[in-house]
Amino acid sequence: MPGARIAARGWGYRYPGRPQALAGVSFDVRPGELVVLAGASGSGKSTLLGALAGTLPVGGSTGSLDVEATAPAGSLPVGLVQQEPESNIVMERVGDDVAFPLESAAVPPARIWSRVDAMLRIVGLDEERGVGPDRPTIRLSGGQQQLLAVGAACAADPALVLLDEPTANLDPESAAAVVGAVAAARAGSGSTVVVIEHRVEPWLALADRVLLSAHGTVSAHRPGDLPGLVASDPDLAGRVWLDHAHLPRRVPGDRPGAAVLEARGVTVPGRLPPTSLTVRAGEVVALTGPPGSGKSTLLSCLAGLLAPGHGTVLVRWAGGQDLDPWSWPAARIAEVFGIVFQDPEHQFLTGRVADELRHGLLGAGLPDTEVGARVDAMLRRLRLGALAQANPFTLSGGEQRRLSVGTALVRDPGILLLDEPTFGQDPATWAEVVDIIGAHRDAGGSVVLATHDPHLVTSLGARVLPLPGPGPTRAGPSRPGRQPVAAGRDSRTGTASGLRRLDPLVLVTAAALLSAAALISRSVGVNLGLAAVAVLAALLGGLAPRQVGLLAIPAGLAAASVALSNALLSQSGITSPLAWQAAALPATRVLAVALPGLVAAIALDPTALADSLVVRLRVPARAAYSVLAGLRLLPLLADEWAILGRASRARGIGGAGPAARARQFTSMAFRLLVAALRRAGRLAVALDVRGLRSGSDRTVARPVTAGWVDAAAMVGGVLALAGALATRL
Amino acid sequence: MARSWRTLDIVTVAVLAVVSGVVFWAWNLVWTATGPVFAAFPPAQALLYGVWLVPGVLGMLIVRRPGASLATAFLAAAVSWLLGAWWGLSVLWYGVLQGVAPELVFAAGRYRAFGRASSVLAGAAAGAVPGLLDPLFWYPEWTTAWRLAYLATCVVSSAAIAGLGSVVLADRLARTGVLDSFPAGRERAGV
Repeated sequence: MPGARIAARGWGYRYPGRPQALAGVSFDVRPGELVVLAGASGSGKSTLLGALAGTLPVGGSTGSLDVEATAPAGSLPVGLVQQEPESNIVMERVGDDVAFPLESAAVPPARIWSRVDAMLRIVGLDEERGVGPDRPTIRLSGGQQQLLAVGAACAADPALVLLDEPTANLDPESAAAVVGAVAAARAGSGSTVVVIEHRVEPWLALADRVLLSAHGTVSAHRPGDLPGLVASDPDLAGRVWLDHAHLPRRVPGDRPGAAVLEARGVTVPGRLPPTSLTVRAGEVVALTGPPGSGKSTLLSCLAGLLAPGHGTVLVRWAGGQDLDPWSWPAARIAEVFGIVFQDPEHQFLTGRVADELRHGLLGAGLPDTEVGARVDAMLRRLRLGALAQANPFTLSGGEQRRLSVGTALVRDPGILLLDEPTFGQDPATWAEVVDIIGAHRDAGGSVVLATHDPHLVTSLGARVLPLPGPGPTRAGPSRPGRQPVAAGRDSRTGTASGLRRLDPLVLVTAAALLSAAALISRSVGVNLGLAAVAVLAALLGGLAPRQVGLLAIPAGLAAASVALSNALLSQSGITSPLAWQAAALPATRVLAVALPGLVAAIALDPTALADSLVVRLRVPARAAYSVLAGLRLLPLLADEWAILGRASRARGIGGAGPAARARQFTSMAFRLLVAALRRAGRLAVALDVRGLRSGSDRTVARPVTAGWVDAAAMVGGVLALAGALATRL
Repeated sequence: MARSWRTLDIVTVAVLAVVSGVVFWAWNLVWTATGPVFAAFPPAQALLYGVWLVPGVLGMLIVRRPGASLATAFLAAAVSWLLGAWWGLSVLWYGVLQGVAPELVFAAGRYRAFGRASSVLAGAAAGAVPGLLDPLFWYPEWTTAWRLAYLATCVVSSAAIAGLGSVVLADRLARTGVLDSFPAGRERAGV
């Protein structure tokens, strides 16, 4: 299918209630061209991309922006890849994620899977390369997730493919793979491609045209003219990565001093092989290595935020007896270390920029005037003076990065620990970060940083500690973590084993009937019978006896606690056998209510449940799949909760008392909400662009079937409910 | 107020439910750990109950569309079921009722009142659900006095934590800019 033709004539846009975002934009893009769009953050790049994707609020535009494209049957108008890998994924399995836009385009199921296989080959995620359609998406590395996003964006043959900083969060090798995948995908389709990127270098060889956004408008240029333009405009040079020849250098002068921090054989099972390291005063150590090699894990161990499985960490700088930072209270951690997390938003604790810096000086015993002076000095140094009263979460990416470095530095700590401090930054912020790190080192401080950025290492003349990769797995680096539930079902045939053979709607309904029966039953015998049915179904349905045993433990404890609570407050008194006899009913009720649900939760395939809701109950596809995509964030947010715990400790929050715990709990819950709501916004865009917006004629690629087992399960559930009702008569 | 749901609204409700699930999981530990503190008078533990009723109120304050309370509370319950809470599927029944109660309060305000008073009322209504059901199902041996004490504690806790707490939370979230695509965020921006 031919690519889209884009024509902008004096186009402008203004968000409701905001100043004009863009004005006077005129350019042409011919079908099949690849266009790179570059410029400062906040200069309107995302606004233009949103207009092309059709995700901007209607109204507010002036002039004309025409996207001429034909969208024949079986195709979607637009494909989109966003910056954060997680926000591009809407389904639980790789194959289903690529199938999703094809389902939206109402491609017949029989043709969907051959297209999915072809797409996975093009982007390099096929089974020969160790991934394949059945791999759970959560087990992909960030780079693989972006390759998948490219595959899904191009699957339904869109006339226009839009990429919003697709490589900003990736290491150089993964970024090159993404550029290669885009080149391969467009070679087959002839789509027009628009890429927003700070790092334009790897795209220039493919580009037919460069659009620069600056000073409230957008101008079009030939790729060959870009070096000259950047050389003549210092503002542009601070915003666009073109070459690395003129980067500032802050190599060390003096030889490093005494050892301040030591790791001996530090190991975290599954995440970090045994590693030893000595950090000296006045030096910068760079931890490098492929994704998953344990760089962030080692940093957390060094900072006393994570207990190593084996080995020891010793802080020589702090002096005194107690040198192991894991044993320290949070306040002492914040005093000795300045810690910067990969995502600045994980570590913001207050509602104002100035308060963020002030928080870093709490407990330092400084007079108020001194605190104020230090905060002001830091605001000036970070060029954040005008934003002192702003909410930290509203800052741009570069401003947030500078602020997070500031919160680490304001207390003047001996040791700076930084996780990917230059990720996704433009050249101007990059140079500032290098400057700050260099100055800290030259003043006798120590710095350990985890980084993918080879230029950062060279610019600082850092000592490199390479961490080996996570071992040669066939699939390359993939995210470690819990085993997801996605395994055990074949998307294209719908075949599954054990309890998964049941239609998921039947599975949930039958379990709900059993637990409803338990709620109303008045017989200890019936309760025990219902619990036994659940255990039997689990064992016959393919769960390991050990797994079933693990399920029963918390339910058993809960039953015991309910029994105790009833006996304690019983009118006959806790010593009377009558009290315990009466307590047996609610206690067995807990068991019988809990077990069917626990078994069903383990056996449930959420994707199949959504399909079944759409096909059988005619639930609107938009509702079912939006909820499904949101629920997919569960394991991610659970991991994020652990990171927030470490970030709290890094900033001196936490402790043993109930008040300290309550404060930490609320602050973590709040930051988790902010992170989750941000993701919700991006996920909704991904779903809409993949054709969920219209949601009229979808096909479902995975077969939805039911058989005699389903009928038997339903009959069983109804009989159980009837039996329980009989106990009340 | 817009009555139809955007994709963003649906995803937001689901994501709120997921966050609630994670927070509940952590809160379960608190609940279990504080059990001994309340051993002398178990009904007083209901003081902590309000946290479980936040989704039904907060979901509506953010999304402001008919059904938001019910949807958020039900999905939050579904998530804690999937996470393996020992309450099992009975959380789904609870989830529906704990969503219907605040939903009725907001519906009575014709989905136009989202201030402090409506939220506190919605929180209190949600609190009455476990306040009535828990003694019925789980503590049949308690005396009427204990049951009334439990109900009152649930309602007060929920009015404070789920009602007032959600208002404060929605306001602080609006200040971070993450609600700019919702009415709650636009009100703050003063546009």
